Amino acid sequence: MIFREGEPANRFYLILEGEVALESYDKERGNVLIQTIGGGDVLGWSWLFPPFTWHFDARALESTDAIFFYGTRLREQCEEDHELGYELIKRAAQVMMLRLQATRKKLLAAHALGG
Amino acid sequence: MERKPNLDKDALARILSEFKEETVELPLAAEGAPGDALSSDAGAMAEKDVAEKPSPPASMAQDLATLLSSHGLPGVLAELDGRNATDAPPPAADRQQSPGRRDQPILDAPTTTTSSSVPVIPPVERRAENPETAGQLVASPAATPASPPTSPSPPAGSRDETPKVGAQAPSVGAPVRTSPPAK
Repeated sequence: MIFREGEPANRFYLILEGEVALESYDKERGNVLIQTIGGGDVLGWSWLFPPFTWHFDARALESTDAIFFYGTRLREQCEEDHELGYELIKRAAQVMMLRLQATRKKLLAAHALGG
Repeated sequence: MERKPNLDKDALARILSEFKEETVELPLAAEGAPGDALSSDAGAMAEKDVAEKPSPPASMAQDLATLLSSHGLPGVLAELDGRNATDAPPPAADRQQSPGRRDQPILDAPTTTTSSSVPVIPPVERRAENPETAGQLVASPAATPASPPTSPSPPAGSRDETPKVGAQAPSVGAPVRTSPPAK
């Protein structure tokens, strides 16, 4: 497990190679796969926004190489350098949009199964 | 008591009259493609957006690595796997700070390499194959700066635990790794 939902988010990862599952826990269904990401993807933006806790579980499905950055330092840097902050926020928004779309698809799939 | 209407049509008409009038015909669902009914201005803006659209980077990760390195923010190379992170000891910098708190999140702490090189995504060359080191977060040879440092790196125990803004950032290639998944 790379991180768990609800834990403090203080890192973010650039995935170089490998495969990581983003999951959410459901009491009835256990871990529900939201999205699988791999090389070239970015993992973890929760360090950027309050309450700075992970919204998903992240689990490596195979040996995965990544570069991680310390979120606290990046936040501080963004406060000092708004240009950097703006560029990061733009990219964060892109990733969040992808996560939202993935979640929406899962929701539709769940509805289809349930209905 | 007479109820005042919510919409003051005269006021609305006055406000609208101040704006340039432009009729836009919205296509019915069955006809036309999205954007067909754009006004000339909107159409021009859309064309501008397309024209200005930068060529997409090789990947989001590459894009971010480039962005962060251009701001002098290096990262730390890590090897992740399916093993429960709480089974693995935290890296040396965190171990000094919170011994025994393996279930706690890893705190931000700078590494101590003296390298000032900006990060690029380095080639990955390590695997946790040695069962002796399984589950440990260990520094790899890649952590060594490309050029010999002027002074030797301090031992793990003397690491500065306090994140400092503007302090020497950790260099790329100060990797950690964990063991293969515990099935």
